[in-house]
Amino acid sequence: MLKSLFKKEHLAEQVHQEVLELSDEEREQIITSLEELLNLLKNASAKNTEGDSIFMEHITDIAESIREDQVILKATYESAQVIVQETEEIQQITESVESQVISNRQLIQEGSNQMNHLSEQMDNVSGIFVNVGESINELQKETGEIMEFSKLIGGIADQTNLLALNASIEAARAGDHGKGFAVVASEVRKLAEQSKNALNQINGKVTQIMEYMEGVVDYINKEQQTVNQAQKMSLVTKEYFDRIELSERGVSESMGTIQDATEQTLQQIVKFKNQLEQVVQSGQSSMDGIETLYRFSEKKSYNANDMITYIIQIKDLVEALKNNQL
Amino acid sequence: MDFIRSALTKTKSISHAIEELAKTLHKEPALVLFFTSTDYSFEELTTSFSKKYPKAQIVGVTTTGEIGPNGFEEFSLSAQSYSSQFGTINAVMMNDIVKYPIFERENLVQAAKAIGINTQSKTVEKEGLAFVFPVGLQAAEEKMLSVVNSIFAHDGFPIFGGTAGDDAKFDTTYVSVNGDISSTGGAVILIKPNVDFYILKENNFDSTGKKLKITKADAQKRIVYEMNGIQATEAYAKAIGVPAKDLSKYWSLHPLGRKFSEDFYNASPFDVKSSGAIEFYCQVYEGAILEVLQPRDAIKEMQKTIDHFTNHFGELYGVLACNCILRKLQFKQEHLFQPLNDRLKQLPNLCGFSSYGEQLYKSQLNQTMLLIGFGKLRVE
Repeated sequence: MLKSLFKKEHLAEQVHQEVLELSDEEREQIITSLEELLNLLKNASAKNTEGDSIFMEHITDIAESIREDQVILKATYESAQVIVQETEEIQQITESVESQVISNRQLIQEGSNQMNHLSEQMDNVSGIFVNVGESINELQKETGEIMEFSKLIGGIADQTNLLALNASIEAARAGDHGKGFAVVASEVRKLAEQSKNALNQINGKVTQIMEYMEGVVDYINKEQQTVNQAQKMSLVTKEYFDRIELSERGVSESMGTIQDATEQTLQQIVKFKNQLEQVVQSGQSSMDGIETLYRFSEKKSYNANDMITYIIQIKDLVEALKNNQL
Repeated sequence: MDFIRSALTKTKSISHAIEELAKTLHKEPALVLFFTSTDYSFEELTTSFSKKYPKAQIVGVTTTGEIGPNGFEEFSLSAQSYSSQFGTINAVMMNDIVKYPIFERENLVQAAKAIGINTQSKTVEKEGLAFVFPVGLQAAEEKMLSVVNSIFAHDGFPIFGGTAGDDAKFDTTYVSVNGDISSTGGAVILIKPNVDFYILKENNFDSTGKKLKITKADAQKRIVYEMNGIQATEAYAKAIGVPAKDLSKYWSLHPLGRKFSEDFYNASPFDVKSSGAIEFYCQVYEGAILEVLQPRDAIKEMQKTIDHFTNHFGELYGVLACNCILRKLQFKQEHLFQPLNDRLKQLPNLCGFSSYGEQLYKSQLNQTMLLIGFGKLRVE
């Protein structure tokens, strides 16, 4: 017995023979079992394909939802991009306004300096007028002295005339001896009269000069007032320049604040935009993932098809076995 | 390069027709494909081609309309020849794809091995390609595909083909391989080409957004009993918005599609059963969610397809096309042959036929047009 068990070849032969010698009942049992297994396989395959379909249905839902999100996100991203562009434009505008303010401040400074120059020039002109006034006063004094001299000389001329009259009276008393003297006295009288006439003319001229000089003084006084007014105006103008400069400084400071705020806004928006971009990209990679799932599920569906066709073919083969013919 | 030639004739005398085609085809081709209307005797054609080209492998298919160098034709004979420089070719007849296609598996393995196709390769897409021409009206395409694909250890071997037709008589279809004729089998042509190729699927349908879930079906018989929990005909008619009794008048414009990402794999209805169930041109199974489709502008799509297709090639030597019968019927009804052909004839050495189903890789499709072009791909 043991000996025969160790004879493997013999054993195999026996088994082989047993298979060959399947009873009708056993054969029937095998076929029934095969059919049962086939049915089980068919059901399993049906469950599998149904599962695949549900899987696909869910993927499609997810894909559609992601796609919708993507559309919204893309629109938001585009809006953010527009805001970034607009903020950048605002930044550029504020920058150009600021540089405009800087050049304005330079112009104001130049204007203010020009006003200072003008004011100095006005001071000079005013000084010149004062000097001229003083000189004219001196001149008036001197002219007054000339008038005094002229009065003195007039007195002398009158006295000389009186003396000459007395001399001619005395000469007349002296008779013939006085004839020559009378001639002299008369000549002296003539001279004195001539001197008087000349003095009158001088007086007239000096009076004229005095009148002219008074006119000049009036004129200078008037001009002095004008210059003073101009000086006052230039001071006011300078004040305006100062106030404009102050206001421009305010504008510049405000522009700076706007720029800082814009800069911050821009940074925030760019950050927001980048975050959005990341979300869009992550959505995209989710879509790529879903694309892979689609391909996977496509392959799976081919395999399901294959499974079904294999099952059908086995069924036909079992049928052939059952009927004992192809 | 002179790798592929094609010609079409409407001459009814077989001897004259073959002589006419021979003027254009290669003198000593390695492979001749012929696609013929049932107006011709298939048996006589098979014998005559074998006699004319004794050294060539010859594969014949009955059709429901042919495609030739000038595009769509009917009641004609179209042929395409491949030169021996084109590549190594091995045509095999699977005698039975209806019941026991598995019996043919070993034969296929040997045929692939014979021309150096490594079926165990991980990059099986680089090993070559196969044309398949299953007979129609037997609901057997998926079985044939499952067995052809089963010889490869990994997925991705390019398989391209169309189901034989019979001029819409829906009676018997035939294929022949090297003189053998079958009405229950399928032709498999294994090719290791010396040139590049590119396959394009034209699907000129969009979703209407309406969905139908198959709730009761028999995948083997391709019959759907219920959709959305109600009788299939009723559910389908409701989705299209037509009375159930008129459904078959409208459904060719509204096939159902299984959506994968942005693309649809179409399933077209074939026949209404008395019970209100619907038989399809391809396998359909329970649980699947299908979308109701609507057609796009056929001419615009064709132009787009041809532009896209030709754009892939630096040089294009020849094109083989399989176009669904339902598309052909629609094009004919809408008088679109002329404008479509004006575009199709831009493709050099075009040949093919209108089919009862289209095969691409592992799937059996409906209402699509498949194009395969051989040439030099454009280097991007």
